[in-house]
Amino acid sequence: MSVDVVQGTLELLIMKTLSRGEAMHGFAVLGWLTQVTKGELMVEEGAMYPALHRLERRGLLRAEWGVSEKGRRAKYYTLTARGRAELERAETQWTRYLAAWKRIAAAASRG
Amino acid sequence: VRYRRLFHLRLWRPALDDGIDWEIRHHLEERMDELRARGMSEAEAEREARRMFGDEARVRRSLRRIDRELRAHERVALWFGTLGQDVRYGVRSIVRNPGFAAALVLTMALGIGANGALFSVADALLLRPLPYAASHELVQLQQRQPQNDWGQPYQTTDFARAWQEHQTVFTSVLVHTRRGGVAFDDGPEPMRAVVEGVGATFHETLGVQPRFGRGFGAEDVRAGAPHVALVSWDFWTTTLGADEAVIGRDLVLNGVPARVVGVMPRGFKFPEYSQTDVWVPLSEEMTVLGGPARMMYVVGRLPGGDLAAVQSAIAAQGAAVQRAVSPGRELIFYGSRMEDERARGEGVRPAMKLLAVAMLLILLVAGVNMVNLLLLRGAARTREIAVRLSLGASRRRVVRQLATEAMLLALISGVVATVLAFVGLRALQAMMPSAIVFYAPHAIEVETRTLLFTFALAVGCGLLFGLLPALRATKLAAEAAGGSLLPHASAHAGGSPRLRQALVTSEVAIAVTLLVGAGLLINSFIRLTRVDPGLEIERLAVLELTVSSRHFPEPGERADYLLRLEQRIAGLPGVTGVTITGGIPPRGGGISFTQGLVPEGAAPREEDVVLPHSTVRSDFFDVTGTRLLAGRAFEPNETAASGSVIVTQALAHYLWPGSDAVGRRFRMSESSDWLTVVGVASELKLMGPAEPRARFALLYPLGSHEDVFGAVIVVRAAGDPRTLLQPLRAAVHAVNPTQIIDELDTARSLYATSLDMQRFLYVILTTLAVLALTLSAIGIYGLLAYSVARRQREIGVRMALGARRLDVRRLIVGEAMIATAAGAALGVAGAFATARFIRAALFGVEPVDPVTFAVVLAVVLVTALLAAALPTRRATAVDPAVVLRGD
Repeated sequence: MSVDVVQGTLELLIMKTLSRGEAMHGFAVLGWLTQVTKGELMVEEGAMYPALHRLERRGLLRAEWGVSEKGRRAKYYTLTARGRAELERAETQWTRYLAAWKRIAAAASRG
Repeated sequence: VRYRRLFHLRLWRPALDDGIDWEIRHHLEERMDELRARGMSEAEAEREARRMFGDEARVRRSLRRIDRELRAHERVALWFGTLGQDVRYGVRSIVRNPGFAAALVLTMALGIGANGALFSVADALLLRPLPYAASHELVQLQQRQPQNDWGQPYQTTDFARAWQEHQTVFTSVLVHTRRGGVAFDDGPEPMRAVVEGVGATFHETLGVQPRFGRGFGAEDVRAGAPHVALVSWDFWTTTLGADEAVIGRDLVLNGVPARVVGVMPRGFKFPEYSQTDVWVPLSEEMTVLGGPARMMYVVGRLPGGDLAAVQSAIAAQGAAVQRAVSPGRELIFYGSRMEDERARGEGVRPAMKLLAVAMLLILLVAGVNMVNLLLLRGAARTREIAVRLSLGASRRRVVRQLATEAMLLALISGVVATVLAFVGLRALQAMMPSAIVFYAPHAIEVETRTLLFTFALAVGCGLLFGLLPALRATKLAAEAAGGSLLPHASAHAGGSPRLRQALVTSEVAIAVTLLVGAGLLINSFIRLTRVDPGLEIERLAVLELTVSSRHFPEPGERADYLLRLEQRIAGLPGVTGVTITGGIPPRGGGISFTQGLVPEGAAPREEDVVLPHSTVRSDFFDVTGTRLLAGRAFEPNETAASGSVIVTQALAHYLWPGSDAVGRRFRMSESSDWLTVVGVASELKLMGPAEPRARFALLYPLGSHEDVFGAVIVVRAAGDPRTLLQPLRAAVHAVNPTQIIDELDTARSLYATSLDMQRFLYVILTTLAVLALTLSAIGIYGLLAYSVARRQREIGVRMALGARRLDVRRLIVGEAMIATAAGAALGVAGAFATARFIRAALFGVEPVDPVTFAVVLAVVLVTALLAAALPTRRATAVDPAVVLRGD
């Protein structure tokens, strides 16, 4: 049983993935997300690339062309300084949202 | 699975769609690798990978859209990024060569600054809209007699009042009238305030409200209304001490207290050709103005300002009102836009046109010099540029860098030019004829529009004169880079000899044009100062005053007052004679326009004649030294009613060529009264020497002092009339402490003011011409110095082969002479082309004056030889042995 990515959070997931500092191409980002969630999270592959490009347009990611270790041309993405700041801001918001959710859930289940 | 980037290619960037293809293909291939590893066949893996990816076409479309926006952002960022680089590069390059930068900035700043200073004047005088709301809608009502082709802007008071009632053309009509100076008592000595009477629609028609206090309304012009006044901002700040408490205070004008109700805003001038201090309502009585006015000016507001569409309505309604007001006296009425009527008079407009042409020329010289300097600089940098090009910089990029550098220099010039414009305007103002200030609807100062103009000019020059050398330098450097980097490759980078010669030629041409203009103006100024005014101005002092009709309402009182003044003055030590007259040169007493004088017993002359006139007493000739050539002076009791006149010699000759004029009669037109010539006087330049149409003068007898309001008292001094000025002032105030003195000066000094405009023009034009000549001398020097340096080898070889120093000298001077001669020829053509601008400013000299041309050409030739001296010496000092060994 797996879950779809919540609307609007894909970009957050990408940025978090890239925040480890390594330059990655799209397939690698996807692979890493699937790997760490043990296939729990269903990322729609076609949505991945527009999300990456949007982030690049907003200046949150930087893209560079390179050659992978398999010898293929690939587009590598890294998080920019602006991207890092944006990620921090969004993460704080999410954490607070989740905390609120838990409190609401707890209160509701107490009846 | 971990992927590591091995290396990336910074410069390789796939085209938009390619990038998207590559990225998606990469994804699918990676996925297929994975699927194949799980045991799928090639075909299965591909199908499965595509299925997992989803709608590929849709993804592609959305990626393309996002990327297009991304690239657009990038392009802008890149442009600004390289701009920053170019600016840094430019600054470094300027700092490295401060001498070059200083020379260029100084040249351009002089050219731009001079233009900025003149722009301040032209802007205030002609360009900025009049200081009223929507000034293009304001129309001045004009009238003319059917037989005349010149109109007058004033109307009879009856007509003006009636027109205001009956017209339907304008939404609002303002009548106004002026009464020169009015006595204003405030402080130890009486002063003079310029007062304008205005109708109740003052604010409505002009659309300007007072800055403080209230404006005029209908209640202020009613009969018996209390006297009120509005003051100008300048009058308020200078004379009234900028105190807001002035509102409610009484100003004593002409002995009548008028309450100040408001202060008009700063910069408000009405009429715009005046220096009005105070406005009072035009009541029926016009007490403050000293009684009802006979003539009035009429201004109307025409919404939209389409004057042509209403001219026929103005004519029809004007004619109808005229028939009702004064039947039998037919006049033609029309409107003229106030904006078009500004600064018409005293040669202000032709003078501005002439100066504008001169300024444009000086800007052109500065620009040519800039091109010249930049070309030289490009030559010095050919190697540097060639290296940059061969290292992969695009030509476009290098051009941009060089142009940016030129633009930086132009902007610095703009800053320096602003300072020079300030200084230049100060200098201009120090000698500015009062006519320009009088006619300017705005104060003449450097303000925002001047700064904008100066910088626009600087940017324009940077673009225009900076781009050509940049293109040229990179073109030549590109050729050099294609071949070798040997220094010889840069031999022609300073512009081909022909191009540089052409530049110097154009500088010389402009200098010649300006010098000819300046020479003509100087020539005509000298002629003007040599004109005999017709009286001994070195011995005379002039005192002008207005006799107050309020203090001396009875004609007898006025005559008595003038007699007492005259007796007091005659008793002063050093005074040998006193006379009272209607006016002497250069202002005269008045002007008659006639359409053909009628000598008795002969056919009327078919010629318009401008006839300046004055009134004089029997003792006029003894006091002023004007000579009476035939007949007699007026008798002491002779009045205008006697019909006796004295004509100048030229007028006598004109009326009765070759025969005696004394005792004969003539009249101004078929319907005028006869005038009898009792005497013939020597020439008298009543309107000053510069008025070309006023060849004649006519004198009427001043029989009684009863009707004299504006008196001109001429005092003859035993010695220097300057020593009399202070005693004269004291004498007037001893008789009447409240008498305002309109003018007190020597006749010589007053006469000189009539040449203010001519002096102003020739001084400016000469300054500019000398500047242009200096710049072209520098240009010639630069051309030769460069050419000598370039041709060292050639000269060395020639000398080794037996050429003498004289031959070498001839070679170098010859080069200078070719540029100078071509420039002089073009300059002469330029002087012909600009003749029409200068003709109006000339007196007694034709625009094509051979003497002026000859002198100018001699000056230019000598300057060119001087500029060539140093490079020639350097060329003849070339040692063939050294030059040839160095190869």
